[in-house]
Amino acid sequence: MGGLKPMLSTGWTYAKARHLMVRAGFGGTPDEVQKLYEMGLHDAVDYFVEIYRQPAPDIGFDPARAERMRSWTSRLPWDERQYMTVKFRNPERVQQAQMRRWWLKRMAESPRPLQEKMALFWHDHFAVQYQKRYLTYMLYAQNQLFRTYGTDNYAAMLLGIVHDPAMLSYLDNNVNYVKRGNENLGREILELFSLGEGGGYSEEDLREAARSLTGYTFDSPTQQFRTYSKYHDNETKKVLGSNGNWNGDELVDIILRQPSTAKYISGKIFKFLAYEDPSSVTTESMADLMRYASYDLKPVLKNLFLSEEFYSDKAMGSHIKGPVELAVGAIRDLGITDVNYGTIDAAVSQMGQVLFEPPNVAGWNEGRTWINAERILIRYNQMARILESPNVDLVELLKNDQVDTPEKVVDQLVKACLVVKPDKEKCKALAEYLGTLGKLPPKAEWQAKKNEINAKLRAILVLLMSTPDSQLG
Amino acid sequence: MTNLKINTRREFLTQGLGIVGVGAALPYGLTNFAMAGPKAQEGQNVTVILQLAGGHDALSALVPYGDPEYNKLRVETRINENEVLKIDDYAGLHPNLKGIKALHSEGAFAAIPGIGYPDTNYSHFTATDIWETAERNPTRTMFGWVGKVCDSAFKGDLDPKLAIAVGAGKTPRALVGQEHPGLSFSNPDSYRYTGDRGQEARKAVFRKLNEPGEGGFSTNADFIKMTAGNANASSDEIRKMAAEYKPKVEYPNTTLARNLKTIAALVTSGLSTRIFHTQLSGFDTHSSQRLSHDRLMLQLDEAVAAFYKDLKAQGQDKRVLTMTMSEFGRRVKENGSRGTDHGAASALLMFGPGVKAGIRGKHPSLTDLQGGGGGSLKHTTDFRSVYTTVIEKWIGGNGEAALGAKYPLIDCIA
Repeated sequence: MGGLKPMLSTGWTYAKARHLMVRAGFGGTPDEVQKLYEMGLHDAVDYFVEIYRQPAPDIGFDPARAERMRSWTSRLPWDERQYMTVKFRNPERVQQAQMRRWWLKRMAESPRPLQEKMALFWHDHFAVQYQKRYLTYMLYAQNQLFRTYGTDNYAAMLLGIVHDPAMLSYLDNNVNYVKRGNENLGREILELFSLGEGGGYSEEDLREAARSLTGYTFDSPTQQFRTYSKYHDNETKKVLGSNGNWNGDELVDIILRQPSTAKYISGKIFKFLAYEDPSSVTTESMADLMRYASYDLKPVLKNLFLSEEFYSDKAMGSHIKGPVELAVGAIRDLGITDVNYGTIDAAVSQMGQVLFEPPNVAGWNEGRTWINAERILIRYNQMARILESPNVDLVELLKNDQVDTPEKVVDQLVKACLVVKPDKEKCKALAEYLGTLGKLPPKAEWQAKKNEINAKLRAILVLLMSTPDSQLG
Repeated sequence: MTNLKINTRREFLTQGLGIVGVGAALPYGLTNFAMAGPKAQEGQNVTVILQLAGGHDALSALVPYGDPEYNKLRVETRINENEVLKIDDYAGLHPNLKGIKALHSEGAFAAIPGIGYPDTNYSHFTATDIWETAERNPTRTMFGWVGKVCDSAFKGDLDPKLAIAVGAGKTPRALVGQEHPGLSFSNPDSYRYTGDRGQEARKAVFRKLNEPGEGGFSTNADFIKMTAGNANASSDEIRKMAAEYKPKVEYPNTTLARNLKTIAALVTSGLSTRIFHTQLSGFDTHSSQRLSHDRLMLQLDEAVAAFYKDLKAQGQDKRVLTMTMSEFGRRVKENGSRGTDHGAASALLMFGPGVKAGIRGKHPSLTDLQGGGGGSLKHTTDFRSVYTTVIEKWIGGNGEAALGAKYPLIDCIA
């Protein structure tokens, strides 16, 4: 049956509840972490994985199909062509920005955070770039695919992807014809999306996979999937040892029967949610379970979140947060309300992560690539921007806490928004600085003096989030 | 900051930051480039990549005035023989390139006409990627050619300042390597931590919170600590150098000139950077080309001339080589809007005493054209040959190791 070795529920601690909160979602306030901790290990994991037990967020988005530029416009003089381009592209770009903000809002506010976290993971895995085609409507449909199946079943997602107009367009499968093939999708589906490089396919397999995918395209006016039998290569193909006149669906079946697929996908999920260098034994155990469960992700995710490995020293506090995780994490950790998602979008873009715009088909380079000399300062500066905003209400966050000294304030803020605690010296420096800002009034008076106290506390918060420790989760 | 006399870079890094006591061991990463003080940088040459964004109509910069086809096909955008600054019987420079013509007389200007690559792509986005990655199919490449050069030629030297883009919103792909992600800033003052809102007390706390650890970077936590330490050190260094620099010429008041002045400042002050990048935009001249392109030529000329005059006066000109790059050239025949549309081959311009002056390649034919619908120039030199030549003959690396393939060398470096 496979699967990772489970942790004993007696090993459950507040710190582990916090860890689960940050990894299975994006974060939560100390009160929320406490509630999660009190549920006990199994109920806490269920809280995240059984997404349908939580209410669906009422955060909708309704994109319009962009009007395409008609081919006759290419014969217009350049100036007029430019006018037409602007007329079609500008509303599209506005829509695209709205979609990014919509998704950030879901990530920050959905009662089903794992659903959004996994949608982000699958978006990175099945990477597609907006800039190639400028079609928000199709990208929205793809995003919904990740949301619907992302915690549910990988096989359904892989099948969905070969029917997905955004992917078919991005990897040129709409011009993958019999006798005049385009191998882009055929290659990436094996190399990046399922078996992984070195997963046991040959160059021949890539070509045959591309042939199998001929005829899978989409209808331009409706932007929906369709097949064109006249473009389909109707001869026998030999893919990964199987002979037959395969089409895209049957290719997916063949891919799913390969043992490498579960191993590669399990490995990727583990690296994203637990730590970056699992042993082969670990990924193989996870893969065993995935195969046994016919690619159902709920049992796999549940097993992961209950495992010893997930709560090991290697995993706790070792993950370098991507820009979206960092910003959304802060929103959830501090319970920030009235968020301007345009500001968040601008901030995460500056930090190097534009939603729907990964650098290429291999997705974002995660982990240490997020951090370099330039980027670390940008991350600090952008988070400062977000955290100085007047809607960051720390008086509210700390309202039930006995924080009558600067040291206790610092400790409580660390508890709220960091996973890795800065060492004693650093906390002391922060407390001392808070002291220089003037003596804090007794707790009972905080509500009355809200603005003044929030200003001081935000200064400390900004500094706290300008530390190497704050970049980890 | 106290008024210490700071003589060496090591002193600057220890006392200037005020975070580590005298005699204390510097953390791993800082040690590496701290010990490579100014002496080690002396004589190490510098490459400046000047990106002309938009697709440069090189036929209007390096003008084939002596070719009857040029005079036939170009009407509204033609540079006439009596305007051209003649180099030889066939070609000459745009009239606004007076400073560059002077550099040519001093042996500090080379032009490589007909620069391009097989199977041209005519889209800004993809073509720029191709030039930046030196790969015809850049969709899966993460890294740019300069990044790859740093990875291979400066392997193990983790100085984050090896490649710097000045005046960029974000680091251009060309500079991004696996071990060397490059650095960029709009201006030297923007590369800094701003969360302290200028308050000294906050700045002090920030420094304390970002003290580099003892470890190298085995764990992610150590890696981030080290990177933050490096960031602060290099931020201070760069801002100080730029602020204290005294140029020996008056630079024109344009963005390009300011960026080149910053580069001159950093080169003269001995910063460890080996490759700089900056750019001039606006070359996508689909309409009213003579108006916009003439202005760009003036901007380019005045900035480059001032840059080299300053470097010469500072005694640094011999070690600085500048090369332009543009994603494509433009069509020989004009369009209906007094401009030109996307073409293929262009010309690459190089500046600095390090070049072998003159026209270093074969002019492209104006009759034997390529591309659907209206004639783009066929290239006579592959741009990757120029990259290879600069890598091997100037930077001191191995072309094949950096670019993944062998390209023939061009005779353009002295």
